[in-house]
Amino acid sequence: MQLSQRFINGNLKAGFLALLLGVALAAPGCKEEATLFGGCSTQDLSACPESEGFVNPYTGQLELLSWTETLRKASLELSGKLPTDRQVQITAEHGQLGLEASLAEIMRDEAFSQRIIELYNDHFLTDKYLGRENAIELLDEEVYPNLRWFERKYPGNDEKAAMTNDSLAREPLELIAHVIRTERPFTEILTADYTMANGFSALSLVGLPDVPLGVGENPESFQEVQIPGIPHAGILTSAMFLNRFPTSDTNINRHRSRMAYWFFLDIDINQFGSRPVDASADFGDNPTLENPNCTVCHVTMDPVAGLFMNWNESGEYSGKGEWFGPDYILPPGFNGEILPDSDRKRALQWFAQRVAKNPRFAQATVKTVFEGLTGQKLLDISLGMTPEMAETSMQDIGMKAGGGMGGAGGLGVGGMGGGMGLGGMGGDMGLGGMGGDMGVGGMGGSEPPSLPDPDPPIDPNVPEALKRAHNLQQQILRAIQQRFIESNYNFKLMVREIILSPYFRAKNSAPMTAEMEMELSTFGTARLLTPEHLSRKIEATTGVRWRQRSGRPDYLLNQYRIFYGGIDSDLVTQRVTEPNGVMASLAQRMAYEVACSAVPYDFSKPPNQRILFPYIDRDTLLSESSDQVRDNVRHLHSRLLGEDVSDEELNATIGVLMEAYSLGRQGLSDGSVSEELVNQCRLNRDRNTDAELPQDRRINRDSEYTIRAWMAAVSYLLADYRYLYE
Amino acid sequence: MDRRDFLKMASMAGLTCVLPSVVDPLRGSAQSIAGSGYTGTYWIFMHAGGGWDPTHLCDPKGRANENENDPMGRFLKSDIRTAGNIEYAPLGDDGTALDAFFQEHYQRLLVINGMDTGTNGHDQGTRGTWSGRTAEGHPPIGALIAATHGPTLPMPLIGYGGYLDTQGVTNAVPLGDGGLLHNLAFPARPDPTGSEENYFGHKDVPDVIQREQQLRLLRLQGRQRLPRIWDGQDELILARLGQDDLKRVSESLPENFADDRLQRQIQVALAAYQAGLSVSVSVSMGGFDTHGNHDNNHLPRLIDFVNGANFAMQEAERMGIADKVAIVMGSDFGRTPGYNNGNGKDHWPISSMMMMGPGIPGNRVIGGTDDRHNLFLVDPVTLEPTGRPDESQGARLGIADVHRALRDLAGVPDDYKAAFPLAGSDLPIFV
Repeated sequence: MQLSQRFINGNLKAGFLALLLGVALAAPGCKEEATLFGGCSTQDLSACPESEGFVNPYTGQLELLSWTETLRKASLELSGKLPTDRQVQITAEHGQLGLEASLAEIMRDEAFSQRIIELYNDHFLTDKYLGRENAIELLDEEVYPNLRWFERKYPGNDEKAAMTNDSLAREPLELIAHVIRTERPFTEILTADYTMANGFSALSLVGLPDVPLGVGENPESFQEVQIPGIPHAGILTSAMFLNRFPTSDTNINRHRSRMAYWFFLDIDINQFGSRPVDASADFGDNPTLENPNCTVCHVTMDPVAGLFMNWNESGEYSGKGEWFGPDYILPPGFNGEILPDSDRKRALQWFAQRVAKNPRFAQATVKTVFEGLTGQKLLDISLGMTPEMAETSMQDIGMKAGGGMGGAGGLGVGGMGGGMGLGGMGGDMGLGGMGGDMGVGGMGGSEPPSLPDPDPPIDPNVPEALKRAHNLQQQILRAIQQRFIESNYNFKLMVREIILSPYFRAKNSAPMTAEMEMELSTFGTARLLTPEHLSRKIEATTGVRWRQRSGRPDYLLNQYRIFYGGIDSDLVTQRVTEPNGVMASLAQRMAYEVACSAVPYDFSKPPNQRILFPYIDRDTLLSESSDQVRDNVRHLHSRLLGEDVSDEELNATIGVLMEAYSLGRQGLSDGSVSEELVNQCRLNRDRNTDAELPQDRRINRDSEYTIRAWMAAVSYLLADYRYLYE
Repeated sequence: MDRRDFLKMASMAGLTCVLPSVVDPLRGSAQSIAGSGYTGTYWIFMHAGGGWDPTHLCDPKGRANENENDPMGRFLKSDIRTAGNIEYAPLGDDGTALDAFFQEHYQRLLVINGMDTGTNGHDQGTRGTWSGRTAEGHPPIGALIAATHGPTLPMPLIGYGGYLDTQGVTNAVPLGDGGLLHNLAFPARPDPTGSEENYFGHKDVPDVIQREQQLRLLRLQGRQRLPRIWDGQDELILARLGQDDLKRVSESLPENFADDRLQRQIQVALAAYQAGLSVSVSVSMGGFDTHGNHDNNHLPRLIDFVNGANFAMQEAERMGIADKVAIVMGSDFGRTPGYNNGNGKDHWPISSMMMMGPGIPGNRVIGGTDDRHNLFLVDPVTLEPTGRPDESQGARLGIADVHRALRDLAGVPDDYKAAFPLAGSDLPIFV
């Protein structure tokens, strides 16, 4: 280890010189390469790459969102913003083509990058290291001598320390954002021979003590950085990623292997191991190599674990290329190939290149993004394993294991191929990996098994209608996958195809039979917004943020995040996707408090600057037959819910407004209701900038009860299903 | 608005409502909404995340002397402590750290040793310990019990951690650890613990808003035919019905919360039970996956974990509900016999569970293991260990057997048992 540290430190000096010369950090302002979507905009539709789109698979039955409705939903989903007037206009005029141009603009917005970072953090969970010095503490000053450069340059400056920490923590997610932003092939998230750093983290990773801050024009902007001596393989060699999925002396990178299969190849090794471990059996001296209960997973997992050989538990590169012998663990390799000795010091680069070429990478990416954008798990009707099947497999093992050493190779075939239903995995893995050469410790071939069949067998007992639903979903996803590959893995194109698909756009159906109900069970997004998503939507639609006051964090991103089903990437890593009483109460409180903040604020502005009340003033007395009232309620439905409101719903909302108005005015007259707004709703400072407002914009009283009546109507809509769900 | 008001209002508006499929997995038998406070057994499920070491808890092994090679633990066998028929490990500086729990509760405590989890995988082990099956697809026992006894309650299962994939039989509600609960219990009040004033200045306006919100949602649902969206709307209807119930939890909360997070969660859960709103809670403590430096990292966690159970019983006694509370403790699996090169212990499929509460016979140990924590078979009638499988007759005490018995004890109905079948046998675990 000492040798390798000196090796790295030596290279770091060279790297720092390169840094100063501007070689390692790409200078901002360089000419950008032409990209597929680069020229595409609502100003120039001809520059947009056209999509084949998707036909409605159930024309006359399945009702899809209009193109402009799709635009609103997509804009909120991808950027947390409402579409611009021009985007709405162009989409209304040009239909799908207009939507595609609008999507290109939306995906150039920095908010889109942040959305994708959020989506991938749900999987990588590296945001655990944001805050305090959580990321810095993972790294070793012996390896990175300038890690705490800020202590010398800016002693006592917590802001610089925090910025450095968070920049380090965001390294893997910023790589994803960078690849998407530049429209490079998405495979580069694994094959990148660089990492991402900004002016703060670059000094920690590459540099020497006492250097000035200021490399690049914008120190907060992330750039490609090569850490000298490190054979980068994108996310796979990210210190944050490697720390988040740690190893130990006995785990020896198996966890990392399992997660690599899951994230990048859509293979859940755990599913291989659903057979019970026989606790009374003789596990042998090396069960992961010899005991079929264990090898069922390890034959696939361990060769890839070996490919992480150069990266220790702290995510540091050793440069040794050393791994255990074949009598202890299967040799490093992947998908039928053994790692050549010449590639041992760059084993993860070797792995990344092979994953990038495998169609399963596109399959995994499409699945991740589809589920992330729709909130919908893919329909899985593959053959599951019942306890009886598991017991049968155990009996098979017992019988064949009694036959002697040769049994091990056969076990995989008998156990897995004999009706256990582990997808198509059994054939390839059992036969190719375990039934071959017996040269390694008495089990399996030395070559790692081929990857499983992407089309696992279907449970024959599943109703035909569900099979049709599954087949159609697979057909559409495979089409997206194919278009993604043909675009040279352009991530934005894949997102666009998902948005255009009927799964994102389905909104209702004509009356149908129970069987058809099952067949259409995969259509229609009914996704409870995440706290992050809801927080953005509040600001986009009401013009205020839900927080105590300006300068404080949004409630949904801070104290209510977990209550509303969010994650902290540490102890809570699974989002709650179905609401409960707590979340419903929270949404209710949000509706009241946002209305309390937004309604007086909006009324205080000139009519042409109002986003909620362009058709009415705060002192206009209310009447349900008033055109002003009706026009403004119609506007609120459109603004907040994206709804072209029906007369029935228009009258219902006006009913809320008028009932509150009536109660309030009655209370004013009998003295039970104060003319004063409660303190939290009073407006004396700008809600967003906290600047003092001029007297004529201040609102503290509501002597006609009009403001509070409108607050009631807005509250009614803010906790509506169509506001809380997309 | 409570459930009765909602039903009345929906009926007057000519709208029908049923509980959604999330409550009843067998969709044809949707249930009507009715509210009633739950007063049966309160189930507290405590998960030791990462795989605990029973040989340092309720299946103590230790070592014969200080010179023993490859010891199971670093305490001496002669120091193993007993409470009635139950042996436990001498943890802590003076070996008495577990006394408070075992000495106080052994007469109610059932220990299951030599339990075969059938896996060395964390996810499978956690699923197995709490659902009875290592494969995916079965809800945790806490969810089944909650769905059985509290299908219309707002928070039948409070979920703080552990295995919470409820498979739609009920929702796991993360209730927080007390501090912010008041804000949610009174969402229309700017100062929920102070003035009763609301944002609108009139006490009835929030009720008008909430009533109309539910009616609009029912109208939307009446026009919706895609099952996914319809179900989503149903989820929200159901969730809203639980809003007002938070007030009752808020009123039952203790004035002083414990410092420990696990203990605070237990306090909130017990308050929810006392308000008649909850049937079960799942809490979890992590940090048990000690592949390195086992004794220093693992044993203090074990002490805290067991103290958490002791605290739960003390709180229950303070609230006068101790005879209604059941506690079930388990983990992903056990840990390997002896120590690895890093003084850690790896994964081992043999584990233990501890449980106590109504219907659970105490001062009893069933199952067993040998000195190296290999499982013994058990006599299927007495559940006494008979010896190792290669030299004895008997039944293998598996996680599915334990869950079959737990389901019976908790009154889980046959339709749930059929929907989520278990392997194993019906052993007289609670007889």
